[in-house]
Amino acid sequence: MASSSENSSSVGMPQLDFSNFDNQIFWLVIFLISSFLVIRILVMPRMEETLTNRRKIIEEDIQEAEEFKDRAIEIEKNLNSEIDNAKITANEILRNCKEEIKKNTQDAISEIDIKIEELVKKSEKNVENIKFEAKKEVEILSKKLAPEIVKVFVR
Amino acid sequence: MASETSAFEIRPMDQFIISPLFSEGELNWYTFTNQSLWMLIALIGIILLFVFGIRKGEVVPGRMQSVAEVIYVFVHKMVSDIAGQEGLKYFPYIFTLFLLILFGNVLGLLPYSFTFTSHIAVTGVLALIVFIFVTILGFVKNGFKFFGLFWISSAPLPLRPILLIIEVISYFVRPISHSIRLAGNMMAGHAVIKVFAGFAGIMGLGAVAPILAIVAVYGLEMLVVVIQAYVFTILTCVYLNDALHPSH
Repeated sequence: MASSSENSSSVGMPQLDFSNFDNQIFWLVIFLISSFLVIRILVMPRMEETLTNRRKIIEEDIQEAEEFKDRAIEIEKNLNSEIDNAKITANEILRNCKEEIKKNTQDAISEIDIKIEELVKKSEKNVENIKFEAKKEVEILSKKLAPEIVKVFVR
Repeated sequence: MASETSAFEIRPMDQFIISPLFSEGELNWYTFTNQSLWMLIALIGIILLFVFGIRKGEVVPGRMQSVAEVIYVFVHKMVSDIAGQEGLKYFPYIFTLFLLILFGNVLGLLPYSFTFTSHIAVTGVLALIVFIFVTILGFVKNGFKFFGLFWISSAPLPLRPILLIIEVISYFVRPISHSIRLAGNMMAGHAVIKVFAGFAGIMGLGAVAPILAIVAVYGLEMLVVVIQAYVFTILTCVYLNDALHPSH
């Protein structure tokens, strides 16, 4: 058969040499079955295991990241509420301070008013006194001067 | 242009001759030939890449594992995209087909190698297995409804008998086109390379143009070799899908 295939090869296509089809098909089936078994038994379980394993790890990582994200959001929320509380407290303190300052100022003003009034009263009294003294002195002086003046006219 | 002009003799088809490896003379059905050797090498290649390459099964894959995983996921996605979830049941065989053809094609590009996928006997058997299996599967899964594949109910009624004939013919031509497409592509590319190589051999040291042509054709063949393995596999998926869902 070998010599005949050599003869046919120099002209036509070796592919159309039907004499060795049985050999080709036999070996093809042998290697087709063996590669199928290799893939079915050795390759696929390992490959599926690796791929599922990886998928699982990635899913777990994503879940973990999601949890971290949730926690971060919660922390942010807490932080915001604390900031809000602090703001409210600060406002209250500020308001209280303002009120206190106002009150203090009011007190000081009213105290000063009282003092001023007292001083005015005192000075008024002083003036009255002085007026009274002056009047008295004028009276005394006029009493003293009146005979003198009369004397002058009489003369 | 036969044996007289021996200096200009280019024998592009000689690379496809099947010859026994360990024994002289008679080629029996069990004789280990150069073709069987390259089938064995393809099998060893598959084992090297897909058994030893993914042995460690790392979460972050290395080089070998990456390549193996990319091919695996690629074929897996192709089957599930075209034939659906039911088609995944036949994924192991389709993957085997793809790998055997891919390795046969790519290894065939090595100098002095033998391309077993260039033989119509090989591709014919592969295509026939697909054809027979898919036909039986279609009848087992759908029963009489499998004929709906030929009776196009979306076409207007007068056209349907004509379409029936066309569909039946195209259905039975499938294994032929399926096998000849692959074998023809492999054979043609290798023969062209061999022809240019023959020119280069005749021209000697000045053979710049033939060598450039070989480089170009070789680059093209690298592409064709992978595409043909892909085409064979995707057509298998399409036929399988026809058997699983004949109404579409």
